[in-house]
Amino acid sequence: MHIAVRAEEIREQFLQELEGLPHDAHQIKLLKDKYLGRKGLVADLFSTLKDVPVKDKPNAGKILNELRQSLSIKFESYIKTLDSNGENMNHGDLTLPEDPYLIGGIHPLTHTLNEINSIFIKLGFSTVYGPEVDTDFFNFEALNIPKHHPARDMQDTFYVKDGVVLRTHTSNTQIHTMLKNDPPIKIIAPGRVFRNEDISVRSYCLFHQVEGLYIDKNVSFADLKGVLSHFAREMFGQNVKTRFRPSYFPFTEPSAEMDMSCFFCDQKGCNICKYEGWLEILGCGMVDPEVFKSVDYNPENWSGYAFGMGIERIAMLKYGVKDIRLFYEGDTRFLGQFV
Amino acid sequence: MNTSLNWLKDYIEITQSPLELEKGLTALGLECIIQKQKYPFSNVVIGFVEEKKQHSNADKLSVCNVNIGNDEVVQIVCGAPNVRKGLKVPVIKVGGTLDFGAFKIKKTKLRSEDSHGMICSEKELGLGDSHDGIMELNTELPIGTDFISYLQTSNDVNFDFELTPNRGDCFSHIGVAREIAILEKSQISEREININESNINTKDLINVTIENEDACPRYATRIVRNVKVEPSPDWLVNRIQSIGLKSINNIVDLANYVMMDCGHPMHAFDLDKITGNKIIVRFPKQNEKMQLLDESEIELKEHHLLICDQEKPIALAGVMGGFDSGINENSTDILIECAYFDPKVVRKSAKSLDISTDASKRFERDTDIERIEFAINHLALLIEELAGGEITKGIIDVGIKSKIIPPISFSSRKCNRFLGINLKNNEIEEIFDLLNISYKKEDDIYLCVVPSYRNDLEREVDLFEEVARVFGYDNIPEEFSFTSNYNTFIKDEQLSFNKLRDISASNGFLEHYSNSLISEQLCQLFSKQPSIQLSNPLSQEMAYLRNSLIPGLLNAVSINERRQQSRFKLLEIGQIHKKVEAKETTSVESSAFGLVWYDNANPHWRQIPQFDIYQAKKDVFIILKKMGCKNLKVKETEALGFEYALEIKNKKIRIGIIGLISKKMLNQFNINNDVIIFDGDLQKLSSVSEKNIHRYKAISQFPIVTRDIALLVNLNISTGKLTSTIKQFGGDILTTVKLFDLYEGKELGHNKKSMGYSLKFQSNEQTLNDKIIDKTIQKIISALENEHGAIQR
Ligand SMILES: [Zn+2]
Repeated sequence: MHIAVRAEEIREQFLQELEGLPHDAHQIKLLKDKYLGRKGLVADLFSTLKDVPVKDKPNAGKILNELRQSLSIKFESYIKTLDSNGENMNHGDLTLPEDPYLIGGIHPLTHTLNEINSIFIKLGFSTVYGPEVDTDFFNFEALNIPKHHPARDMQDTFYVKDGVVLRTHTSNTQIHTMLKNDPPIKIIAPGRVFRNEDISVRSYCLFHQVEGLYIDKNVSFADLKGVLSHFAREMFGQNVKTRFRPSYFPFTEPSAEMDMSCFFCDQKGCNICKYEGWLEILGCGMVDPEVFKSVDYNPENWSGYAFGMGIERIAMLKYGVKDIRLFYEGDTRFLGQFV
Repeated sequence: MNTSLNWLKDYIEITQSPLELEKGLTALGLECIIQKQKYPFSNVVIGFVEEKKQHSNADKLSVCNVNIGNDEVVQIVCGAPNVRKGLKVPVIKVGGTLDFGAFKIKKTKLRSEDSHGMICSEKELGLGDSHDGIMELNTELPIGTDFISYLQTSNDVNFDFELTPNRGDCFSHIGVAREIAILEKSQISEREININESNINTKDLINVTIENEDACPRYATRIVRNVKVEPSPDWLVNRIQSIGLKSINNIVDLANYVMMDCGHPMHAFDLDKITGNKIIVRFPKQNEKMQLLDESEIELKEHHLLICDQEKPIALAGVMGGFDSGINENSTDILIECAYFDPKVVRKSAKSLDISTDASKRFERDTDIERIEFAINHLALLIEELAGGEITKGIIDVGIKSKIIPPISFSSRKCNRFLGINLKNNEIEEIFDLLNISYKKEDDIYLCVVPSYRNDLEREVDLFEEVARVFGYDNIPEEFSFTSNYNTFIKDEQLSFNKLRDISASNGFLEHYSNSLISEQLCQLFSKQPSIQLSNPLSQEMAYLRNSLIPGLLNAVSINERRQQSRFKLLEIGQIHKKVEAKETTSVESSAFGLVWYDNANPHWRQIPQFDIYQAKKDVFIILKKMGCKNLKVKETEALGFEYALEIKNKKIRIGIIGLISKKMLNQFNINNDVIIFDGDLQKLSSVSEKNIHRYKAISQFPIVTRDIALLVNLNISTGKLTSTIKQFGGDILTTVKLFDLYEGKELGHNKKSMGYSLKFQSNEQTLNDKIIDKTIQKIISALENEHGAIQR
């Protein structure tokens, strides 16, 4: 049969059926499928194109495209009139379940890291990164941790070979940055660090840190206290109090631990703060002159502070996670809670 | 380190309560906690017996009125013979428990008399075996005080210190006492040692030579003869046990006692076992061996400093004594060693043998060279007192007696500026006094000499810390200002990683962090890149640094499958390592990102297809395009560990591969269902994103013309190739190519498929007329025919 004739037939038939169509979503869909569906009458007719002699093909193709277009237009305008007449259509059970979906989300450690970073970035700190595998010089020596110093026991270290370690802190990044740039320096260095410790509820063979370094003229310990207390309030709430305790890190002098008032119990004492009312948050201190010497800064002209915190520790406090291993297991029921 | 409060009181009068000390010492940088003793009772207070009368129905019972604090007086029936008016006693209140909660005190009637609680004996409280009546408390503490506070003030209290490595001086009771003196604003009183020596000269009995004075700057010995090695007396046993040590015999206990007291480790040799009356401090000869006290045989390395007699090593200096030379029950003449060793030398020995002893811990953190004479005399005196015998005349004391410490110049102006405080000179001097730092003032500068036990104070900045510590970190104000311009502002090279995270999360991916440490076997499954091995791994499972994210992602899939999670998508962003010997660190590190699709969900009522490569590709395309890839091309490729895979390129840059993990690999991870993985190179992606500059493109005003074409093609012709031919010959006016139908069937003929393409044309300059479109379609069709043998249907 000539394609043009058949096309006309289909058009007629469609218009008739459209006329008598009940206002029912299901019926409407059936009609659409019958004519315009993938296996519908129009598509059928398209498939006969192959039998048309080559010289007639362009014309036939054009007729068919027109047919499809006009049917679609008719159909759409019919639907539009239905809508604008405000007629009640029986549209089936709309409470049937929607299509399945997955809600993605970033990792709780990324959340925590981003929160920490953004506080310091707002204060003008730049984010820098360093290598996970580094030399003894960058991880220890330049940070005033010479070989055969008891301070090496503070960090159980993985070795790749003599003189090459998996970094035990992101402080190596401070050295890389200072060797490449002149002061003033104002950076934070986030990243993955490694400790040769048995895996347990409280410790894992790796964790993540953010370290900060600020070097300028006349930076004081009071400045350090100010910026870190500001951080604690931004991170955990304006009512948070901080306290600083003397501590020891080879690369800072004086060194301090910063504790934060326990926000779980308002310092009344709970098992999270071990009934002490304070939570250990981070270590910090004034950059030791020895560190300046190893990067060729003159300690007479410059002073500065450094600080470092474990992201896992903060995330565990924040979310009440009791087992550090959950962070690396990938259980979607865990990850799905932080979307 | 464990210290006893009673022991500390030998050195200083303490007015502060244990709790105040705990806080104060921690604030000084000596982190400590009071050892919590677990008492088996609760709700016990100090009560006062105001009245006692005989029970009318029972001879052995008394009825007492007991004041239990806050003017509350209760009646308690008591059976103890020693209860009487005017006694302070422990009273357990109604509601209290004994025996760790097993026994609860209730209000009762005893022979028709009410009893509200119980007056307790030692045994009832679980404090001892004495059942001869109730405890009589001799105390000033007010009525109603918690009984545990009573126990803490009358009994000993232990503090557990977590000392930082710089404070070797606090590894003893005298050291902690000095810090308490700062809190109490007083000074410690030193022990007085007065020794009676016999008229036998020590130097006639022993000769000491130091071969290496750098490693051992000072070596002192004393000899005590004719002693009797026997069990320690009670007071010594108590002291030793009070800090958690085991009593062995009087000599060993005393050596430990003096070490714990003044911080200087000492060693006692049996003089009879020292050959040739000679002590030589030297490094080993070749192939020398020795057996240590713990019976281990060690091969000596050149850095092991030794204490030797004429023939052989008798101790590993500063670490452990030798097996043969120690004290036993039959020893009579004792040689006491008290030496000063280089901390690095002791540490090297201990570390290389993986030994840590009370002595090595102290030597490593440095000891007080000037304390030696005192320590050795103290020990000799105590041995003489407890084990009898006679102290021979004189100390053999070889080497230097003290270190020359140049004075540290200290500027209060600099100190104030550095700490952000404003201390006056007299306040600073007060702090120096509390720290036993002597000083001379020259103009604005103090010349400070620190006490010999403070090996950690060498520089001005160390004194700044001391000032801060004693002044109190909490008293330093908070400043909040930044001064300069920052010429060091550095571009965040991982900024785009967060964008990638967010886009992926919006598309249903959960971010995962996997362990960077994996096994050798896992390193070989998906990458041919050589991987980096650790020389001291925790286990073989974690002996290598990952060279691919895929193993970590599959581990997560495996865990989720095992935990019956049926449908999920994962994302990981992280560093991977390639071993390159030429690099100093042997590592070339790069950022990678991986995506996972896993779908084993039950059918849905609308028959939503499960995740397959096409859906996965869609996700990847959305993500990559949003990351700035504008010219994505895919091509089938071979990939290690994949059943099949496509490589995805943007222009010429390969961003990653996507495909189905092979069954064999899935078996390695015990995964049963299909897993699709995308393995991407984040550095490459970032470079693409960066280069991508957004330029607005004008939107065409002219209509779109749609044409469908149907093709009959051999099955082996890939859609990718057809599509790219269509695009090539469609030219600029071809805006969209869509495959709307794909059909394979017998009626098409052997090895054929039918493909329906819908093409959209549009021009920026004109309305396209049929002629142009027809011509273009013709060009496309003939190209398809020429290049791929495709026939228009
Ligand atoms: Zn709390």
